[in-house]
Amino acid sequence: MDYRAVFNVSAAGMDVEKLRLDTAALNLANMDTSAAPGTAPFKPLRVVSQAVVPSFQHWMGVEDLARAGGLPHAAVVEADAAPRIVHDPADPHADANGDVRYPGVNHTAEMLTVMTALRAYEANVAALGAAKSMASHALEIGGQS
Amino acid sequence: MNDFILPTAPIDATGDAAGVQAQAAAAPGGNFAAWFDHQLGALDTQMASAEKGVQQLAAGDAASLHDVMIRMEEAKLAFHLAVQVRSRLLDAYQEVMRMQV
Amino acid sequence: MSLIDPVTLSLVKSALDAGVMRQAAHAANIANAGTPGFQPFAVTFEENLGDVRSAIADGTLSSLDARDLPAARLAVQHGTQPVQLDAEVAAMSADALHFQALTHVLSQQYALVSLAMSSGDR
Repeated sequence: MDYRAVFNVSAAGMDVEKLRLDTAALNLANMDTSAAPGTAPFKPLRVVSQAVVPSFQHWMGVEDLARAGGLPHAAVVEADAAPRIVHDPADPHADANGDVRYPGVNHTAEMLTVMTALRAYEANVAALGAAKSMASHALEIGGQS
Repeated sequence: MNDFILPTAPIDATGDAAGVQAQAAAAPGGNFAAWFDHQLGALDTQMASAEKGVQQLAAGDAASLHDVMIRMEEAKLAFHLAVQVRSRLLDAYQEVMRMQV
Repeated sequence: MSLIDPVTLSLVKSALDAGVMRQAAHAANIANAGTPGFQPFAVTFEENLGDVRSAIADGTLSSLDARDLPAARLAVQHGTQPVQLDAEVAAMSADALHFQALTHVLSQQYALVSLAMSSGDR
């Protein structure tokens, strides 16, 4: 990869933010799902991201900068969230105490994640566009002579 | 603070252009034939550099597009210059030949 | 009848390299905006020019050695500041525009040289 390496970085960023968005959407969709006592309930998920930074012996060029910047890598893990308990003995999923367990999804937090992820996704799209625009202009060098 | 210094392309036409510049400044009063010879050599180097840039681009090794484009433009202008000089020389020769003795 | 002054060309090339590196830095910073503990990249170039600036003002740039011009330097910010997304996008737009300005004026310079060489054509 050469001058195109910078596109990979933005693409990876988009992947991560898209994953964040999808995960938040999934959590929100399952907010009000309960499970019968004894069966596994939905566990809220969260995205953990880290930058994978390769080690270098020496620098070669811009593509190394792109890679050294760390391609963001994301994994989906289960969040450590206590279930939301609603007392409703009439519910078919109520346990012996009449409690129904719902996933511990924080609605506000998930909505905030959606907004942030969307904004960050768009920023990555902007970065991709800027890189493409710069490359186009570089190709026009000398085009007037 | 960690500082990473990314080198620019180590070998390019710029170094030779510096030589061309020096030679061009020395041309008046100097040996024209030697100067023109040097120009053709510099042209050769620049065209080879441009071709290498294109090869690197095709092979996916071009570090930057602007570097390739600049090398090509430099080669193009150097070639243009050589052609112009040749044309003028030819014109001058023909004009001399047309003179009535 | 020479090509573009080699020192000027070298300076422009360095500025273009800095532009490309800046875009890579912005892309990496934006892509890692949500990565915990990520240290943002910054590129310094104009700050390192030092004597070159005064040489430009004096009109003595051409007398410098083209190979002595400072290259773009990439620095990693060791700070507690995480990536400020909006500021990063704004800076990226500005840097992209600056890159476009550089390529444009370079093309214009080449066009002038070409014109100078062609004038007199019958």
